[in-house]
Amino acid sequence: MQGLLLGIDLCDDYSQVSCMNPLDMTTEAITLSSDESSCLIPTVICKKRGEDEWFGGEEAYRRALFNEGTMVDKLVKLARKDGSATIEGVKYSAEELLYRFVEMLITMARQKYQLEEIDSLVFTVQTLEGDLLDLLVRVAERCGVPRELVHILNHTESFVYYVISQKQEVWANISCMFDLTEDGLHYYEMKMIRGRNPRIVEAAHERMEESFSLDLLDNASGEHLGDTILTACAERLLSRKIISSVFLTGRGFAKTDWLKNFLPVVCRKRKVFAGQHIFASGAAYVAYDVLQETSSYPFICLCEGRLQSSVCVSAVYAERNEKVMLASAGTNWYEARSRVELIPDNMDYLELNIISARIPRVDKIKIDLTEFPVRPNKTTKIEVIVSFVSEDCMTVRIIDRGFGDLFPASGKMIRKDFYLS
Amino acid sequence: MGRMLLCRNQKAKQPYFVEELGLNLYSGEELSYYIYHNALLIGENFLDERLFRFISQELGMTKLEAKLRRWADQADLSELLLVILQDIHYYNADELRQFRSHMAEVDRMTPGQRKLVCAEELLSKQRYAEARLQYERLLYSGDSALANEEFQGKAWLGRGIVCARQYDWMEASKSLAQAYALLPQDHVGKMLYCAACQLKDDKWKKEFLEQLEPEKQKVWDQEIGDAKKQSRFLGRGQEVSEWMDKDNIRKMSGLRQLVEIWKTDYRRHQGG
Repeated sequence: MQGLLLGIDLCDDYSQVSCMNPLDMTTEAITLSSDESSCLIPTVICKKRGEDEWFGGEEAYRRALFNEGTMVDKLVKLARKDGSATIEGVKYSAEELLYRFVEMLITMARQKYQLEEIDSLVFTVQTLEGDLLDLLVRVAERCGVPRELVHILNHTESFVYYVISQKQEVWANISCMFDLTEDGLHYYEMKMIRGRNPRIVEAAHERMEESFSLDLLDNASGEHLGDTILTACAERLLSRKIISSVFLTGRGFAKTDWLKNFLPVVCRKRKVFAGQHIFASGAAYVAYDVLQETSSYPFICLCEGRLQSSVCVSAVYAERNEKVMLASAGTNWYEARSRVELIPDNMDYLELNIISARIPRVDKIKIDLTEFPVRPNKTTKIEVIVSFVSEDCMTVRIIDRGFGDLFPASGKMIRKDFYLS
Repeated sequence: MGRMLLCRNQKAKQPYFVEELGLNLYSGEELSYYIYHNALLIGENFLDERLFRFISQELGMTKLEAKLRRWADQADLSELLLVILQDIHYYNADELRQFRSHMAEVDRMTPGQRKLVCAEELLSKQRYAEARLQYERLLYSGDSALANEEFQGKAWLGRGIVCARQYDWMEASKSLAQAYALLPQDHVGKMLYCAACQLKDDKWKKEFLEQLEPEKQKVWDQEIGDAKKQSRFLGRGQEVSEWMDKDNIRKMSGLRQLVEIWKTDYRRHQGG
């Protein structure tokens, strides 16, 4: 191994770190001790009173308990709302606090494997938002990981990559997962759509309304109530579906002896796995895969955070018609950014083709170019930049680049936003 | 039917400078455009080391460079220009066919005819200093084509226009007088009248005006007066009036910019 291939699952209650070992293609959870449950690292940070010394995870709790410092929790939520915390009269931004926490996680991995270099780092969070993505990239850069080595997934994507990395019998039909945490109950489901080339994986995530606090499980009657709620959910969600595997994750499933009714329902003719580092492992698999010339996952993943359609433009080169792909279905929206330079030949508009991955449908979008200066035919070069602000909102910018010194550029830009259904 | 052409080449970091036009070319498409529209201005020395380096290093077209080097001493210039156009793929088959036939037409021209067309091309591109030089080379070359009155008249007319654009009214008047003698047409006479009216030396002015019919001079005088009134709303007059409508700060900076542009144009036209 040249450098570390890390997957970090950042949640508001617990975070996890997983490291990919490319020799045996397995992931390993980085734990604070030999106990598997210790792979759950509380997402809290504590500053030692009067000193510039910071602690994270269980140590932060301990220090705060002994009144040795001030603790800040829910770091991801704080970062999402661009918040801050004041400790000993000093205001710390959420980015600063998250940086100290992530640095601690990365240091754990570096110390465990005695490797300084990081080849690839993949964060996974519950949902992706533009500001949080930028913040995480900046945090990684401050930790010494260049931005081109950083990727960010949501939990649904991590789940998909984790499951697909298992034996095919596990995901031959539908795979689903229950994630029970302090944040609530989340249900994930994925299926491979057959007969399409490239293959398509459809995945979805649902935050269940039938949620409960994990404090409920502190006594027998609470456990019974929780079991009843989960059983009702499972019966509703799993009925009339051909399900190959069910995964149970989150601190709520750290023990399963209280799931007296739920387990028989989910285990009916299915493989059931309970584990704690599914998201972090999925991220670690991706950390390895992004460095390979050919992906081990030759499929289009359609889920939240991924483009549901491809965007291309028809252009001519050497008298041959070509489809220039500007964004591919299944790409993370925040990574789907591309540019192309075109010269309109008797065209006063740009036509983009939106090709749905789910259904055989092509929509056309026309963007008027008559705002640009009038010049002789074929003497206006346009730069087309396609980017996304969410999985279904595309921004197209067209910049007049003129034609060198012969017809100088006006620098005019046409910007259009489109919602892709 | 319209279409979009895909640009594969990146913008050149070191552009190719075209001395004849005084501008830089940054891409294969621009090089193609320059060749297509200025084929007459391109001489044998165009295919030099500087062009080969631009094609291979800046455009990344090493195969084209190798081809041109291999054929530079064997093929005609027009054939080699066609090879460049074909490889860059900016022009389609029809346009290349037109270029080929245009080049064939040029190849059939006598050297004198070619010089005249070339001078006219430079004039149309407002490269007045180069155009004047080209007209003079032709007029004082003793080329056999000059025996044709119409041909010689066109050459003097062209030189007269160029000199007028350079505000050299004496030379303009002389050339236009020669042209009018060979091509006694109204529009040539009107140009001579305009140029002669600008002369400060009354003796010369009188001498040139004597060549023109007094009735026609009255009509042209009226037309020129109208055109002067119109000029306030056209071309540079219009540019000025647009700035005059702005507030004082913008007006002054805009007018200053305009004057700078005019100065640059003037220097360029004088061959500076």
